[in-house]
Amino acid sequence: MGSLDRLLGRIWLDPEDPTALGLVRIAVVAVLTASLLTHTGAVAEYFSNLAPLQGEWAREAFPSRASVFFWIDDPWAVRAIFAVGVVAHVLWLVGRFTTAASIVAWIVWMSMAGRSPLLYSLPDQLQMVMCTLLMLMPTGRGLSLDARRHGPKPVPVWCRRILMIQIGTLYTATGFLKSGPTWHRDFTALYFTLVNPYNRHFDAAPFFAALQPWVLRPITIVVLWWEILFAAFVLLHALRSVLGRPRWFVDLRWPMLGFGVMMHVGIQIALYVAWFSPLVLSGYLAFLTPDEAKRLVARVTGRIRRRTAS
Amino acid sequence: MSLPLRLLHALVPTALAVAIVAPVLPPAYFGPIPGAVAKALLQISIKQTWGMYAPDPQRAQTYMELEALYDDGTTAMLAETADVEHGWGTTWAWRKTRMDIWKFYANFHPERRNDHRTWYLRSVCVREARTGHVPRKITMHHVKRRFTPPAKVAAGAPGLGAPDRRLITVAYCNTSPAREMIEADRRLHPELYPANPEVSEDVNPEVSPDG
Repeated sequence: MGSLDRLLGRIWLDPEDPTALGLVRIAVVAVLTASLLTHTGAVAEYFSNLAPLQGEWAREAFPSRASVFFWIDDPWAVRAIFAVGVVAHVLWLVGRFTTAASIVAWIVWMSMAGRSPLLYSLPDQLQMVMCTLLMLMPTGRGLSLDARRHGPKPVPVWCRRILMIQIGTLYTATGFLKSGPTWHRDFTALYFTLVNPYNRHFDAAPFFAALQPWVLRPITIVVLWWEILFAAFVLLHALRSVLGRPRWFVDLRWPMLGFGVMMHVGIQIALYVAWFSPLVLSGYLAFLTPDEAKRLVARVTGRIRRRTAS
Repeated sequence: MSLPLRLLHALVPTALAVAIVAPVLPPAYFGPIPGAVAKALLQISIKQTWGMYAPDPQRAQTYMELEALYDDGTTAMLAETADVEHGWGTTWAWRKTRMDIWKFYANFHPERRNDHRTWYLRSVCVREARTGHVPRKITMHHVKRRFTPPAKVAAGAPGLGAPDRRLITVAYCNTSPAREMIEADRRLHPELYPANPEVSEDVNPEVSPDG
């Protein structure tokens, strides 16, 4: 019984300092808030009865979805709910009334994505997923106004572990789904991604074609295997944490996450992918230990203080 | 905290882990479980299908071209056609709207039924009705350009192939439910409709669709 209890604690329930989770909250909710604000000016046209697809036909078109906007569709009511959502995001970001704010923010996202799901692409899926996961976690216990008021409280280790599992699942699932010849035979997948006029930032096919044999081809292979192996990395990282981070157990975070950072920065520079890159990189903060998060926060706040003092 | 209570607490992260991992498991090994979990999560707009650039990235880009035919026999190219003319350069976030994503979904599966396309075209009927001119029918063509493989581009070929245009479908604005959608929209938002008696004739239920 005692060993089961200890295992349960190591894997899911042991308490830890809330700084790392608070840092994830700030980064992810900042991205969610920015993404939400890009709807401003088109809220009624997207989600109210001003949309060309509205009323009973909207419900018929998307029968498997739940949304407040299926039932409240007056344009000004929809705009008001959106405005409440913006306020909820700001409160969630600064960590004031965090639990209530996160629930309201989640209801607004679910309602937007449910009312008009075809306005959201595959990269947008991650917004809804991260919003839901963070809403279910005690994210206001660290780096928040709530914590400043009531004092920081520990959070269970499962919060960061669940975020790691989410990121690992995302990469490995997509790695296994990449079964076509551009990934496994010609190794031209990156080339074709970079030259797609639907989302390319640069019209430079001859340049990318020149890079194909020496640069894009090997990177295509590395990206594929990095994605496929990411879940194994998450498992090894979790095992290392459960064992108490022994010295002999090599820390794979820097090569794995370092490559991920370079890849997503590259994607962000080369392609339009909505909010995917900043969101997934915000999720990487879940791999920081609370001590590392504290050091990072201390470094950033120290730098800000020095700047404001001089 | 007692062990039973801790076990109960542990159910929360365990359920979350299942909700994250189960939808991506292969149904060939896990039967109906992945689909059932995915379906339940879809109710709250959560999707765990992560098929980015899979099984291959796009090797061609397709835009829709919409041509409206009116009761007086005149025709007009609708706003979507701008993509066919200007959509082959570069893209930046400030040039995109979320409607571009719906158009992208509406272009899926040109050979078979696509509900997203059907509802998109019905929405176009409503949007056009608000201009005062209800199309009798809207003809959708796809214009597709393939991306030239890198070896050929390196040898001097252009990055994009020649446009390939083909008929996809025809939508009628004076049949159900597009007609009812227009009528309901006009009742709800009369201010969006020009005061023009001709307009009401366009949505006369007795007008039969051609073809």
